[in-house]
Amino acid sequence: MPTAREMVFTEMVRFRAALPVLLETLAGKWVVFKDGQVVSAHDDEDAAYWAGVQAFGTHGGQVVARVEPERPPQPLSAGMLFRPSSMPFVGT
Amino acid sequence: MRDIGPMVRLRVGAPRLEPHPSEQLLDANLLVDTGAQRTCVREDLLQQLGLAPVRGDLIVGVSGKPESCLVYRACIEVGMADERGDRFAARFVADVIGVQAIQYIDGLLGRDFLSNVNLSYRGPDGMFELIDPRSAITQSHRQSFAAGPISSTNTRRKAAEASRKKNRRKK
Repeated sequence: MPTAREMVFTEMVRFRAALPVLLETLAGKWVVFKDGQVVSAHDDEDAAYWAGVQAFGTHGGQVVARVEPERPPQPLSAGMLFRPSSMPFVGT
Repeated sequence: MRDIGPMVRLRVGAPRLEPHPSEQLLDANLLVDTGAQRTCVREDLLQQLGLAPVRGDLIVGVSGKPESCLVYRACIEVGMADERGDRFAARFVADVIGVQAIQYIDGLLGRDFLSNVNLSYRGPDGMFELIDPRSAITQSHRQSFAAGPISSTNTRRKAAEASRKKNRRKK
């Protein structure tokens, strides 16, 4: 039995694949996405989250996401944008 | 701990439609990070709360490469104080990114939260304040875990002024 974590990873792959089609009809909406299909569409994230919990439970593996063009990867922190210059070790 | 930077102690729990007496909230120490777009919390702590992810996002971490991270919907409770110094807990539901353990801290408090408050950082005093501009409520902290309790800005300011006057008299 896959965990909720694994199910969400799998469902995200399906969601990303379906995104170009979803953008044509549901752009800007928050959707509950499960088994490769939109289960319901909502105006805000809270409504979508609770609709997903009601339909599948907290660990049902459903994805709750906004239908919007994919954003470039975000840095966890600005510090991640830099890598220290490699320097020879100086010390005793 | 002082060297780590400004740290907020808050509590994380599962989102609920209404507060429940048996709900579990866990303490978390988050580093205030204006360079972080998103708030992130140790994933093991989120799983301990029985939370499940709601989606995945691409994040660039220490590897320098985009990685798929899970996003959790969580309830966050922050201790605040009003202008009179009366304490209360401010609660909100937010998306947090689950991350692997970060040294010494439980996560980062990013701009998704900080964009709603005024952040005042007084480096020489080792203090910072988060002020909600809409209701003038404040959270003041020293840069260490030990000095966790919150107090009103005015109380801290008066204490600092009294200390400065005392030092001047000694000179």
